[in-house]
Amino acid sequence: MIVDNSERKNRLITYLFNYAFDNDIGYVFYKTNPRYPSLAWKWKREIAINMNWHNQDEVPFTIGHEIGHVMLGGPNTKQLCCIAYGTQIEEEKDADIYSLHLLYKYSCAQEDNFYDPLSFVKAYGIPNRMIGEAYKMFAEEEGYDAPDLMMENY
Amino acid sequence: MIEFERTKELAKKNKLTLLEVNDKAGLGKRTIYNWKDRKPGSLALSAVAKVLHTSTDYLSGRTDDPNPHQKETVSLDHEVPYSYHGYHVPEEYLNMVRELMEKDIRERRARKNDRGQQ
Repeated sequence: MIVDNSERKNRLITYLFNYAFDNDIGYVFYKTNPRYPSLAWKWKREIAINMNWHNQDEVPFTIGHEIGHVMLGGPNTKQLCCIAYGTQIEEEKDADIYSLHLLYKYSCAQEDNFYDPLSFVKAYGIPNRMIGEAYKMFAEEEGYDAPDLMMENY
Repeated sequence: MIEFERTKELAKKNKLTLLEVNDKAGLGKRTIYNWKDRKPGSLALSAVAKVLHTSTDYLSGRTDDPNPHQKETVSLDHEVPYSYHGYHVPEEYLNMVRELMEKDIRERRARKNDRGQQ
């Protein structure tokens, strides 16, 4: 059965942009080369989203991720670029986790009632690298017991 | 270009080939070799600077000191936004997005001022 998720995805995107607005984060969005990444300008509280990202399902997660960069701030806000100072990996991971939790908050408000992390991750276009974190989140918030093997694999 | 020459020189000091530097920095195929006759993008240059434990200022000839610790303060003009998971940001894309963002920031500021005056 083919399910049209575009309406659902659009509602989620609207929620995320509203969330940005409510938190004094400016945003621009556009369609360009599918390989051009979305960006966050932390200290100016501004994000730029490529809506034509090659993985269309991942677009809402990238919006949450860029919002995460701004919301989490951090000590290197005014440095040239995170990459140059070796903090990129940590900051990218934190922004990922922020996005995961933001999408989960939305999902709960929709009363989606996901019983397992994998279904949630799949339904919201969350990248596979987040599966381990999703298990952790479910364990913390729902008392869901993460299978040991699964945690080790991710 | 000086960026290519200095990358080559530091790669040698670090006992790395240019291809290894290219890979460690996560750049596209043979990107560094294109710097022979083309200016590198700022994010790519930052990634290479990190691999070679130096600063982008040294690689681009703004300083002759390869020590990265000299460069803690950065002028606003050189600030670059974060890119999603460090994906490569071509210069022309960065410039386009920067313009869009700056326009939005100006408009946002104006809206705030308007609200403040009401």
